[in-house]
Amino acid sequence: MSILDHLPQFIVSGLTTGSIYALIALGFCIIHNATGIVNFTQVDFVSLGGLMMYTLLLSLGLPLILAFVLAVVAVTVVGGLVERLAIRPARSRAVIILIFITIGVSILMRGIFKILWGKNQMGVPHFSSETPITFFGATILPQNLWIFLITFIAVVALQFFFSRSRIGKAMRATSFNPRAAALMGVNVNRMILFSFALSGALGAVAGIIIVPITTLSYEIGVMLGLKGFAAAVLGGYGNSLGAVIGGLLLGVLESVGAGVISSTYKDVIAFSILLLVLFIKPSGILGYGDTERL
Amino acid sequence: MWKRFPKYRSTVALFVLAAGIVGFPKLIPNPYYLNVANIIGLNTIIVVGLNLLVGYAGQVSLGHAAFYGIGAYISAILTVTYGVPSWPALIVAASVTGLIALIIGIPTLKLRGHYLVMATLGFNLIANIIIVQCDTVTGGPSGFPGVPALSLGGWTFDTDEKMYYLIWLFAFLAILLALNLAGSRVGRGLKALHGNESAASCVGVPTKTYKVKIFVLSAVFASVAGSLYAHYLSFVSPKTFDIFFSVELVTMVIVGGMGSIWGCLFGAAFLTSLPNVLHSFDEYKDIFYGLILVVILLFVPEGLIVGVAQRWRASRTARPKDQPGLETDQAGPRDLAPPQEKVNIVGSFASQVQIAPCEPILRIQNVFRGFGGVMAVSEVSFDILRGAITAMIGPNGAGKTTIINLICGVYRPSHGTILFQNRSIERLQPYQIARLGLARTFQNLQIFDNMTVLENVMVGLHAKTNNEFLVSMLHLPAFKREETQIRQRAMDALAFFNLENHADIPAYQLSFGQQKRLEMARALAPNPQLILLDEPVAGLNMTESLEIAELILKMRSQGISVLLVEHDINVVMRISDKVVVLNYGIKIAEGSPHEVQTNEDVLSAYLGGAV
Amino acid sequence: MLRIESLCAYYRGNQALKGVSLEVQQGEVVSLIGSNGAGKTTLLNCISGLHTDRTGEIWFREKDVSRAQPHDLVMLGLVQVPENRQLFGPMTVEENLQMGAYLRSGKMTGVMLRKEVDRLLERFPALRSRRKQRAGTLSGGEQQMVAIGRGLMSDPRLLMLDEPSLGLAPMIVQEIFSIIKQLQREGCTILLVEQNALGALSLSDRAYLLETGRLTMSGQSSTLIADKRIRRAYLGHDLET
Repeated sequence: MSILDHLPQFIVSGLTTGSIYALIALGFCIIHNATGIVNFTQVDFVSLGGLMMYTLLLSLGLPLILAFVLAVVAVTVVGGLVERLAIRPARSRAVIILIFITIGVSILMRGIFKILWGKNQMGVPHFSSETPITFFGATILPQNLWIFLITFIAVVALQFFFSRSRIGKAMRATSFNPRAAALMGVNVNRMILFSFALSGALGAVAGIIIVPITTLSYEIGVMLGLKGFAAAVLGGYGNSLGAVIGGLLLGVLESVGAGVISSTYKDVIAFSILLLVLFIKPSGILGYGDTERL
Repeated sequence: MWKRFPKYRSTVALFVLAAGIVGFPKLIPNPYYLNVANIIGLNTIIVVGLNLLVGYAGQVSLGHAAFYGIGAYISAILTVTYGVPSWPALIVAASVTGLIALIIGIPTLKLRGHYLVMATLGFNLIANIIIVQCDTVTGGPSGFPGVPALSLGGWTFDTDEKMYYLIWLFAFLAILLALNLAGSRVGRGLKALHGNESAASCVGVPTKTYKVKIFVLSAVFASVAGSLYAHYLSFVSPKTFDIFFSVELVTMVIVGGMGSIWGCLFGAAFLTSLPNVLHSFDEYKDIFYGLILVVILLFVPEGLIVGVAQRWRASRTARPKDQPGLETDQAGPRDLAPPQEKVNIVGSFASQVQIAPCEPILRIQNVFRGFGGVMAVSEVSFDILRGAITAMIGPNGAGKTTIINLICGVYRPSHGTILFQNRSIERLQPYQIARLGLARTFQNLQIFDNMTVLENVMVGLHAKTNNEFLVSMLHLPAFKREETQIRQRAMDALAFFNLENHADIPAYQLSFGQQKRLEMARALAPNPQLILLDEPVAGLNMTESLEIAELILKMRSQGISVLLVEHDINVVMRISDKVVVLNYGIKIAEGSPHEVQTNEDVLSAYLGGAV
Repeated sequence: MLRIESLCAYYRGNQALKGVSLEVQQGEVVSLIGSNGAGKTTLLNCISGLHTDRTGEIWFREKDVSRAQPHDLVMLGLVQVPENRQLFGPMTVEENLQMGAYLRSGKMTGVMLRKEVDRLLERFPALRSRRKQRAGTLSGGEQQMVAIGRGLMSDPRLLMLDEPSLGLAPMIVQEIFSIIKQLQREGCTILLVEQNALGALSLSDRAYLLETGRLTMSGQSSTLIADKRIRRAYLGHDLET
């Protein structure tokens, strides 16, 4: 009975972290579709978003909206730089080499963050008031609503970008068939650069909106990012809609599971779901974004 | 000198290693360095195992820190909490770890792609959290103290120096076993499946089983290292076994060089001592670490040892072939001189009984195969005659290669049966079909680039040989006997195709024409009953084509049945006993070359109709 | 318009093209025929800038484009319709066609782009009802039409068609060839690569025969069509020779 009483609360907090996982999972998918690799720097895009927000908002005292936009732009640029400096020179290499390059860059980035921001924990204020609202027995912070709203906007904007805009369509075309896209005059290198930049932006947004309700540190993105990765696998690696559904589902399952079993095993629940999906249905809920050929 | 005695090279190196191990504590009696050396030894054991997985089977695990940790914790808990003697505890730990690896490996390794990375990553995170959270059993975040020192027959390994010899004995054995395995039939099979899984399967390598076995083996190596670690430090902490250590272990493999067992030693030594060297720069450790990984992967992805050795060799010996492809034309005719005085490999194992060429060796009966709604092959039936050359022709996209893939098990028919020597084979895996005596070549050359010319042919004998993991690792007498036979037979096959002088160079350095012959040598070496040749002369010039045609006739004369798919109609009409013509996945004609050549349907299928 | 001089191309040590020189004049339909493995697709990929392991010169509209990137060539109006259609399967027919106009669409409004697609679909009535359907679900013939349409959307100066009849039933091949004929009447310059020799010869002005990386014959299509050697290149020499 007590579980049922708490269910609305679990669902609200599950959807909150689930939104973050969804944004991160989308970043993983976009790069996977463009290059076929798992980009582990996605994790650090999240951290960097939060860290930049802290610096711009608190150290430089910029207004909230300006800090938000500048933080996203900064990580977008970093995403592009990662592609340009570390991925493009090695793109003819085996996928596994590329994956390890992203792991190397991830370690490097974390090392830099540690020096620039230190190992201390930091806090970023909520976007608006911190007075909770009670709704069907669940306590909701205004920041939760901000997270839902911004995630929703980001997902819709992304959907619009990929289905309507010229560049978005070219990026999709490139992911389906890079050779044919090149024959249409698409600069394939640039599309891959864009996909890293876009993933950077998504990671940054995820980091920025979550830091007010968690403690910020130079490695905040690691756990969030790895769970975002699990969410992407759950939804069907490479499938954008799957990423969103996988993210939200993982968030809720984790939150409810932690409530039912024990919150100490919250992380175990998320990664057990990852293993279960890989063992039972490796193509995830919605299947691959692209079919695997023999 | 090394070139002339390659056999002794690794023996000498092993002696040097043994001498170095024994001499180190005498030369550097500093306890601090001894401690570092011990950790290097433990890491070497894990990395050697991991390199068999990464460098040979081409699969990456981000869970080896967890296997290391599970080994350490099981040893610790069994000896302290349950009073189990330490050596049985080590064996129990290794068995449990192996079992866990089996459970993770079976579902993920049967898939193509890098699912193992994802699964092991998740597994490592889970294992770490469980170790931290189950504090009543594991001691939780503060660790598990009081693990007793190892002892053997009254001798206790209770000092750093004693432990040093034990750890390095294990490390030495790990290197020895890995070298043995790498140079064996199994090692070649693993390399082949790394190079090209589908082709490896077609030469008889049970790819899925091998991947799982090598993954379990590498997990066991890690577990043993973990047990030694627990007894050495007498204390285990969950921090040691987190996901970052898994990444570090793979980094050691990459720094040393994937597929290089000696590189493991370097990778482990380099990356283990690095934090100690960088002690005063603790802040910058991660930056430096990340940079090393990225720079090596960008500029020497073969690893430092292998990459530097390759570059050094390349700078010393000007490569004879810097202009790819050109030598095909120049050297072709000379290279392809009829191999009269050579050993006659074709059929030297062939059955003595001559069978009338009317009996079918393979029957395709009413076979259908669709791909995503499109019927690539529909209702095709024909026989391949024993001891004869059956040709299959048809325009591009007619379904010829699909039929070859159906016969050798790469695809399964949607409907219909395929009988090989009266046995239904359409449900078998490619490696099982290869064992029945069926070999093939590929339309687009499928040479294993990561292996030498000789190894390519030796792996071709996989289906006909039996040495498995244990025999190979321990170099039992059975191993040597069979290995000698494999080598001899492979050299004979190379000699037959005039490639014996290139035996030890990497296969990718051969010219196109030579690679084509290498692929035929690989297919022919196990002396198959039936050989499927998918466009053997495509891309060759007239002289080379005629040489290949001669070879195919020779195969027939030795009793090997041939299914020939070829676009070069000259060759087909010249040598075939029977021709089957396909168009749009349907058989449109079947008969003697002459009958087919004058068939109107065939003419229009080939030349198309005027508009 | 297009001039190629002593082009050699390599694939992993295999020399796929051995000194090919050919040219295509404005307004011509030139066919390049030869059996599988002769190097026809490699030649087109060299011209399109997709295959870079090569030597020799390529001139297009009086410019040396030997080192040009694929998108530069499309910008100049050199457009390839690749072998096996290579559509963007999960995208709709309309999106595929829009991708054809990718480089031009930067300066177009959505309405203009839609009008372009409308205009193109007049040429392919069979596709009109398929506009919102995923391209991967079309039949082979329809897919080939989308592929040609996608190429036309780039507003090509020279259209290179790689095996447009590949894998299509004879009826559909006729239909595709009649589309090419229509383009020819409108004055399109076309380089047609075909295995279907008689079909290609019957609609082109001039032709080249490619055999194992070398051009072995060239001339007026009407002369080549009667030449016994073409038949032999496909169906074999007399057994005695």
